[in-house]
Amino acid sequence: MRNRYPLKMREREVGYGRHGSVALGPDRLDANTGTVETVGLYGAASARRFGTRYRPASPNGHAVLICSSLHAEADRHHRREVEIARALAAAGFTVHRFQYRGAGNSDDVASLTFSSLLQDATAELDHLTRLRSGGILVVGVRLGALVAAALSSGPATPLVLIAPLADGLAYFKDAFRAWAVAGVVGGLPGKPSGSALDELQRTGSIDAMGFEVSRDLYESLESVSLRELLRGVPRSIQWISVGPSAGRVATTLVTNLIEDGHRVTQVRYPYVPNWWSMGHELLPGDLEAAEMIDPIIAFAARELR
Amino acid sequence: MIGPLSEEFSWLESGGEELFAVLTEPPSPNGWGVIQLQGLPRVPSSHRNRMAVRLAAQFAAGGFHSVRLDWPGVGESTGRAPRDREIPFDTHAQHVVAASRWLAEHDVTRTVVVGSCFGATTGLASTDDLDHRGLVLVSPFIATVDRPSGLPYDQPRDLSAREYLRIVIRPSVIRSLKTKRQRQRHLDLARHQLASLRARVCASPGARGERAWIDQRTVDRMARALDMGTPIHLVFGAGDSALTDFNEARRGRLGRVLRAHSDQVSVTVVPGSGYIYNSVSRQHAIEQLITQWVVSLRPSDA
Repeated sequence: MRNRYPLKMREREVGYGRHGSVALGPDRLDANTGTVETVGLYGAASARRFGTRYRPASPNGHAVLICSSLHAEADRHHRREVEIARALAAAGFTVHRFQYRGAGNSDDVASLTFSSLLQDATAELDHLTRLRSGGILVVGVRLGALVAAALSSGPATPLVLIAPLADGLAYFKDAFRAWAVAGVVGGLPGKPSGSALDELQRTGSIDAMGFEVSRDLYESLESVSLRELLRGVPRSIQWISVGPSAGRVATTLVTNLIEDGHRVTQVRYPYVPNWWSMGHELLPGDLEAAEMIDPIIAFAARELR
Repeated sequence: MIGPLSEEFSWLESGGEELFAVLTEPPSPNGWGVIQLQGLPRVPSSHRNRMAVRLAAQFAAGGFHSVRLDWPGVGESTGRAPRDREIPFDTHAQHVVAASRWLAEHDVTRTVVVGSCFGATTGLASTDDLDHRGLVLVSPFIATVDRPSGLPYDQPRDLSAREYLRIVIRPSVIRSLKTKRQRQRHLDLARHQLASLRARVCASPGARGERAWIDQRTVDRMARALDMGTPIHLVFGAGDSALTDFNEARRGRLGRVLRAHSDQVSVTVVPGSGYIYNSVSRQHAIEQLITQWVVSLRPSDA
């Protein structure tokens, strides 16, 4: 179809030939922006991450890595991340998006943990580091904010955190709520009584609205905190709150981060997403990232100049 | 755990958009292919909890190719997702044709559609152009957008239009509509009753007594597919609103169509309430159901 180069040539061109097993799709040339998008499976055989690479028509030398969330949150935000990536590429940034092993179109993983998420993100960042000539910015969404914060990419790496979680347990608060709601409205056969945590400990996983959330993931995240991950290395952070108010936890956390020496700018995105909602209905702002895009591009341009 | 799959990616050019699509190749191809179609508005091609990836692995183990794609405006594809009351079965059916063409490039010409919700009805709409060997329709849309949302089915069904109208114009009822939502709902019900009345008065003999919001194009397509000999497996969740619509439609012409082709049609209702895929165990049960049915379509000596 649009496979304009032989596969080997494209592997060499994007720098993957000597770095593991690759299954690339054909390039997509965006007629409006000139960006070339390449989808593919990247990484070692049987442990490949599905990812999309965006090569801008007029590269500015800088690069952006987007770390998404997991489960329902990832589905909910997927399209926004695509739109943000396309807009950043149109503005000259080389962008990588990827799906963690065990999620989306990636290969499976024996145990999905914070460590496996971090391994995947680190591999992406390493590759991006080889490609770019300028700086790197990392975008983290929800749980992906913890991954972005944990990446050891040097003190100068600025971060964009979209509706970030204060800690690993915050992720499970929502997942446990989804489990409880499913138990009430879903009428699931054999759903035991008791807390979600009991169920998680007893059976090794919970069914949160049709997403399998494992004990391994819980145990790997229960002591992870955004503030601790960021401690010691002052960063420029763009904090994008989602909803009409930032929330008490977020306000306190931002204050703490500023006390820790980070430079934090806040942006508020007005719509309230229901991250684990089951509804088919379209909620305002579900599909469009327009209001998020300009502040992110402005931040990236300012921090990476 | 899903083993590593042999997969190919593409951008299918269809309807002026470029649609991200994944083709899973089996180790021992049997010449058959499955087109997996998801719902809207934000379900990615991998589907909830990677259902489509697991299904692709199971199909591949049975020798079937499979294709899954992101609809326009969803996932990696270009374009704008439909919104509000848009349900573009007909326009999106062309994307199923594009997926079928991609399979044909891999020498796969015998196709089965496995569609969920919007994807199910769109897969059915693609039978206008394609001759599928089987259709798995999970919670297909039988109703048009004219069906009032949240319609309390039993209540209007038990009342005649005259009785209903007598109730809705009572001053006490109108005074009780305090919020915008209540007024909208009241208006929706009134519209529905009027549409039903109009359908009963103006309907052709074949459609007499049919709910006005039952999508006759969907019934037509199901009838034509069955006439052509295509087997259909319908799957619903017990608490699914699509099942309510289906049961309502089955009281009319759809029921007669299905009875006339009872040897080609199977209907499975999966226990549990709410959205059909909101339980991992139910997902696994449906995957098994689908895989077994699809595998059974292919003659063992084919």
